[in-house]
Amino acid sequence: MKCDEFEAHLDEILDERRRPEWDAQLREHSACCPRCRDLASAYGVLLEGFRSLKLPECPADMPTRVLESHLARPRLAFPAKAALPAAAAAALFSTAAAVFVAVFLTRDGQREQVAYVAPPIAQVPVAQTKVKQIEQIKFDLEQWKKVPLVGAVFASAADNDKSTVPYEELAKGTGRSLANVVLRMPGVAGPRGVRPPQPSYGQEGGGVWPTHMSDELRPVAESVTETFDLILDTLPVTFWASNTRDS
Amino acid sequence: MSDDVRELVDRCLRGDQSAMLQLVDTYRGQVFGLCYRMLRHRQDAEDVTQESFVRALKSLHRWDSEREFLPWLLAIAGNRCRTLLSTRKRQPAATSLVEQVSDKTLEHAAAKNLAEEVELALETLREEYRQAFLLFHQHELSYQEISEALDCPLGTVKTWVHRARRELIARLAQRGVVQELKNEVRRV
Repeated sequence: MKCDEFEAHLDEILDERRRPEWDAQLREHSACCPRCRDLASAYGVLLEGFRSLKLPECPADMPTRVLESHLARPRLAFPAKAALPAAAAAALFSTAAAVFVAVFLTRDGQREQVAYVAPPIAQVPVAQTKVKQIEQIKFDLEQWKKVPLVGAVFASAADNDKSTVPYEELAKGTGRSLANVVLRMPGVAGPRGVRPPQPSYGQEGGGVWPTHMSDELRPVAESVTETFDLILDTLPVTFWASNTRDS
Repeated sequence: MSDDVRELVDRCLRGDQSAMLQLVDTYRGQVFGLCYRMLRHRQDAEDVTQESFVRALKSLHRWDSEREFLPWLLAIAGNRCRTLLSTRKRQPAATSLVEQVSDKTLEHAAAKNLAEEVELALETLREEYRQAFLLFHQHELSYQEISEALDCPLGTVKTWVHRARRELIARLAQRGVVQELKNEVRRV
């Protein structure tokens, strides 16, 4: 056995709670190695001294103290348990308040952001488009009214209820389609229903629209009418127009 | 483990106060011994012993009856001791003075016998080494039991105990208790 092995073996012996002097290998090596013998002796001294250590006596009333403390603990724990939910509730409330404020502020920030950025993008073009549409409608109406021939022909046709001017001639005279002429005549069923007789179409103070229609809707209605007129111009309604007129 | 301890624990769990008294009385010496060796302060050792038993009674239902009761109990006591020691470390102003006075007192007074020298040497050990050493040599727990009690690998416990022995011998050599090993001290 070498000296390094001696100390390791000594540890094994001590780990097994055996006495080193009873081990043959250790005894044999110790006989020829003073250093290892002293080492083994030192271990023996250490353990001997440790065994001779005297502990102060544990108080005899320790069981009673423990029991009193154990029994008192639930009573002491009650306010602690009561305080814990209170503290937890307070902490929870604080946390919730903080979260609410944070969310509220964040949402406010988002609202401010939306209110600041989005409306100019979403609303202004719509408003501008609407204004442009209205202006375009007004422009179309003005252009339409500036056609004297149409207004004169229609006015004469409307004023003279007994007029025998055929729709075909009116269409030729105005340059419009037959269907367009028919539907523009007073008392003829059109897309806007039965029109009341109007003194004229293009004259001041006159118009084809019911009087109950608000001024705000009239530009829109005009636009719809113009669109409908364009559609009518493409329809072959000659036979229907002739029969209607005859009846 | 004897069935007596299991029966005693069962009675404690049923709320039998006499069983609780008996249980504490059975193990109070061992728990107090560990606390005293760990804390080196009688009053603290008493307080921690009491607290350890109260905690043990409170969490008695968690004890695995298939295992030994003493290691489980000493583990609780050891944890309480380490908690107190860590508290002392966080209060250096208060504890340093106590330790200085304690060291001076011990060092100035000549050790009357080997036991005092060993006790003095024990104080120089790291907490882990000291606890493992005490559990092995004082309470004669097996390495496996110490490993479970301290919740660390068995090999680590062995290492701690071995190092504790060597450092104690080195300390004794420095103190001249074992003059012959001055050369060995350097190796430790």
